[in-house]
Amino acid sequence: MGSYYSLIFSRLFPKKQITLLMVGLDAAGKTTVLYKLKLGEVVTTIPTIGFNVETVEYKNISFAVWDVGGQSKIRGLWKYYYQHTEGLIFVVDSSDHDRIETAAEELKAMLAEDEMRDAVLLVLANKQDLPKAMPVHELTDRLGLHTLRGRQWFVQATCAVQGSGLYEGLDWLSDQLSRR
Amino acid sequence: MTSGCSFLLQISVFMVEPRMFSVCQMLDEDSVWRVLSGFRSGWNVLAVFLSLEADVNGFSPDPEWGSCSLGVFVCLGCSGIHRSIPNLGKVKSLLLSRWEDSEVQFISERGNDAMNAVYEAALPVYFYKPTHRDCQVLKEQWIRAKYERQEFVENGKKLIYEDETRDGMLMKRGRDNGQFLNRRFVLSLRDGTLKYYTKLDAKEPKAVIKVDTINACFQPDKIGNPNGLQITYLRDNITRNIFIYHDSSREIVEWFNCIRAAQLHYLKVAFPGATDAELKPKLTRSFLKEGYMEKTGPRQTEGFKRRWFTLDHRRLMYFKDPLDAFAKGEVFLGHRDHGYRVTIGLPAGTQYNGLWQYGITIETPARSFLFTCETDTEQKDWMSHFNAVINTPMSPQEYTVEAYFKHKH
Repeated sequence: MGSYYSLIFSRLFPKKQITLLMVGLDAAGKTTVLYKLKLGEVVTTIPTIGFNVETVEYKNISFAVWDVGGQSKIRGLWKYYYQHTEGLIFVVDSSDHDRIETAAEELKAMLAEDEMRDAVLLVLANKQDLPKAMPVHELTDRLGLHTLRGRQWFVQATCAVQGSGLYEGLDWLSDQLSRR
Repeated sequence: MTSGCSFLLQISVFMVEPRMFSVCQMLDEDSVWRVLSGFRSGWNVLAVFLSLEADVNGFSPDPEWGSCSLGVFVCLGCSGIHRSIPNLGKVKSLLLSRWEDSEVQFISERGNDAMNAVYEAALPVYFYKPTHRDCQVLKEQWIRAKYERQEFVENGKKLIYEDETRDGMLMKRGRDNGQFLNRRFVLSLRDGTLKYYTKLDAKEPKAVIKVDTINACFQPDKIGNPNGLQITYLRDNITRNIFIYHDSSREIVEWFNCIRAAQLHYLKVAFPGATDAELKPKLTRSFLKEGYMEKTGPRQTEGFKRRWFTLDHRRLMYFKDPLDAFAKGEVFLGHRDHGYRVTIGLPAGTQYNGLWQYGITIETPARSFLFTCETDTEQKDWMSHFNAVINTPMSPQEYTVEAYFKHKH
């Protein structure tokens, strides 16, 4: 009987499905973010060769999160994941001053793609626990986010190993995407 | 020129390795070549990098990653550890990353041999250097000790592992209830003992364990904790297991190496003339194999029952539960010339009344033991370990152990 009602319930209020693509330079913390959301645990990661995909249930939304490896020579593969991506999560190692320009270029190139026209952009300013981490406003400037036109974007400070900021990021994404 | 040809050949072998298959199409041979040919030390390093049996850094046969800040090659697993430690700087893939000229130059002037000469210059004999088969906690703490804390760079520095006593709290699994509780442990270098106390203010320890009877090995899966350590010791020729962990992986690995340091200290006194190379194998060791088999009783008419087996060199133990404090039985495996035999299958006429069908028979001078394994792979694996043991000549100390066993039965 219980399953009958839950069936009715799920028919009346189907769970919303959202597809997210999570990219960023290597060692930004993408896989750690993914499994912190999925399992609530910090897993020991190795560099991702290929991708990881998990569904994360949050606030009656089912997020399908694709986490794609960020080594320089496999960044060319990101484009194969653009189709059907509603939200883009761009993870940045906030303490990596040397490569913030590279990150900005990769992000800019990706947003210029036609398939990414309608995707909303969530930037995770990760590794905020590290002493040299750039604050959100500095990252926003250096990623050139103020120059974006016709794009909904948001920068969330996170520390994936502590889990801080991750759900705030998902909140923003679900707000943006459920309005559609 | 010949080495150049074989190099290209090896590169192609490398490319068809199944794990790398997904990246084959993206392989930019030129840049692989550029990184590799940058090595001034020449074909030597190439041989190390490419030969699949090579064991760079003691870790992995395929070091496909490089640390641009340390100038060493590491495997995929260790690259994950390196990049998780902020102070260690960057790791890059030899195949999937773009290397700057300066980075190629940097790593070509270093390399594993040269850097080990620096970072392991003062590596103590007792300190356990893990291999790629070891668990994550050992590898991570090794990398932290070696590169992050640089403990082994300077000669003559007194390390924490050599302290006179080590006194601290560890979570210990209760013998009967299986609950982990905080217990005080004291390791004394001078006494050569490890003691533990059930109460913090207790005057008398619950147990006093002599370090020369101890074995310690990491057992994350069996204990169900990434920092789980099994300590095994002998009392009256009976093996006792205790299972401990500490929430901090640094702490538990320190305990492990402190035990090894105390053992070495004892051995140096016991065998004054022995070299470090002779003493090192007498420190803690890993079990040769562990796993489930079924066994029947001495009359061989009882039903086969599933038991957890541990092969600790010549000592084969079986337990009802992998985390039992005491074995249900212990079998000594001597040399084949002294009446020990291992054969595949069970004696003719034996009823396979258990669930598993792959039999092994072990004969000792006292009795024969019948076991069954779940798969033929398991059967072969156990067979190869049993055969290796009974083909190894016995040391004088092992004759003493054998006599203990004979006396007991």
